[in-house]
Amino acid sequence: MKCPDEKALIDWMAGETTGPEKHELDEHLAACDQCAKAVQALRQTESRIQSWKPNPLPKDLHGLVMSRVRRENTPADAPSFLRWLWLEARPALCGIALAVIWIFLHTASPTQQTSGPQAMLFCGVVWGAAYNSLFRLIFTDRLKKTLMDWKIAGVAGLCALSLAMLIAAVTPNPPSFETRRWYASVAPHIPEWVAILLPALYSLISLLIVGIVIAVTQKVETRRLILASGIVYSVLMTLDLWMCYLLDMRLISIPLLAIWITSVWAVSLALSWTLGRLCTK
Amino acid sequence: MTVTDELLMEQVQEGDERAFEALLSRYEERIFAYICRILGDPDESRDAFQETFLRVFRKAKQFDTRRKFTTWLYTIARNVCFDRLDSKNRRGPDISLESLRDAGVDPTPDIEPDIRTTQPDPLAFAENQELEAAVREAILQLPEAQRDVMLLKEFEHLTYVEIAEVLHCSVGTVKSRFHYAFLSLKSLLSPLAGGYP
Repeated sequence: MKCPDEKALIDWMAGETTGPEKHELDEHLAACDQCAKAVQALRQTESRIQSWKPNPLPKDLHGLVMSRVRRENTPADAPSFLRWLWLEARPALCGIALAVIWIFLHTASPTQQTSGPQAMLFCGVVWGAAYNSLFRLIFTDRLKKTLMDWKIAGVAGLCALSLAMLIAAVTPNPPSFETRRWYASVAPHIPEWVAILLPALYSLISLLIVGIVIAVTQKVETRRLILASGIVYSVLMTLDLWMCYLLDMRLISIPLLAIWITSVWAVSLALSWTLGRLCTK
Repeated sequence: MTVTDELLMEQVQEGDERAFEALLSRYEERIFAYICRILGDPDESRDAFQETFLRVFRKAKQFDTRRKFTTWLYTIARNVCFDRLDSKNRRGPDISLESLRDAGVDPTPDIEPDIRTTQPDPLAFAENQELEAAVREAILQLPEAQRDVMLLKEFEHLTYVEIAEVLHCSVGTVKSRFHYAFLSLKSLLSPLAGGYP
């Protein structure tokens, strides 16, 4: 047999030579010193290549993958919509529960007046939880691909809208109260129900725009999105607060307003984050 | 008797988490090592690893159980890695030890400190580290197509036919790329000490 070239030896070493060809090559290599040396040189290269050791598997990765898989694996016998609601919308449910309790307590003692900052703070907390939940709904891996599904977008939108209307209609001094007054002063022809809906709508539209942009890119982690939801919410709240300030200069002094805005940001972000972490584990 | 991967995949298709966990346990170390070799960054590799196995679970129903599971698994892992590299403007081919260091990434393998300190011969250990770094750099210098084949053949021990299936190319192309890659590494690594005596 004629001495094989290096490529044939590489195939032979890689176990890719089979049948009679392999048998013939085995016999040749046993007899040919020159080819044996060539194989030794190739083996040395292979040995050096193998010195690139694998990175050890981090101990927590197995558990992380399994927990995500378990979360995604909805049992066939569970009602899928209720399970989805329970798994993903718990922060919003907590927020709504808080709102209901607060409204109940407030209506139970009609003499108690709620101040602007208190109402703002409370609305901030509730909205923080609601936005957190909506973003979780949108950016859960399983659901983000179906963001454009009307069922999901519709339910998320209705939740936000209902909550906004509930707060606007029942609370004595909500953010949208000033907004309503503002609409009435600058555009009296706008019906009151539109003035009530508009603040909720612009919040909802902003939320959906940001959500769609991030979902389309699909490159952002859920944790970052929770933070993003807080930031979006904070921006919207700031707009509301500044609107209040511009409408009624006597409402609060500028330094206090700054402290107030900062507090609302901090509290709602912290609560939004905590609720998200606690309720969706 | 060991249950085959393909049989486990049939159970995963029915939503069996235990079957999935069995597959995860079987391949997690190999796949993590493979991903680390492609991406270089251990933190990014963690994310890519999770994404790989989540895709396996999500796309389980698309898997044809007459095919080989490992080929499918490596195809997914590779796609996940290249999606990530794509999102970074395909910086993969330009990775070098210097660029990794510039990016604040430790280019040496993620070895536990106790392993580093329990080496019987510090000099030999240092030489091994040097050799490993040189090998890594040499492989990173290969053209992307050749490096792809080299990783799957030398470290994952796939056959030419399996690699062709993963890379969606012909067996002849795989053979040719492997030959060129191996011979390039031979000339790049031959001046180094160590390895086969």
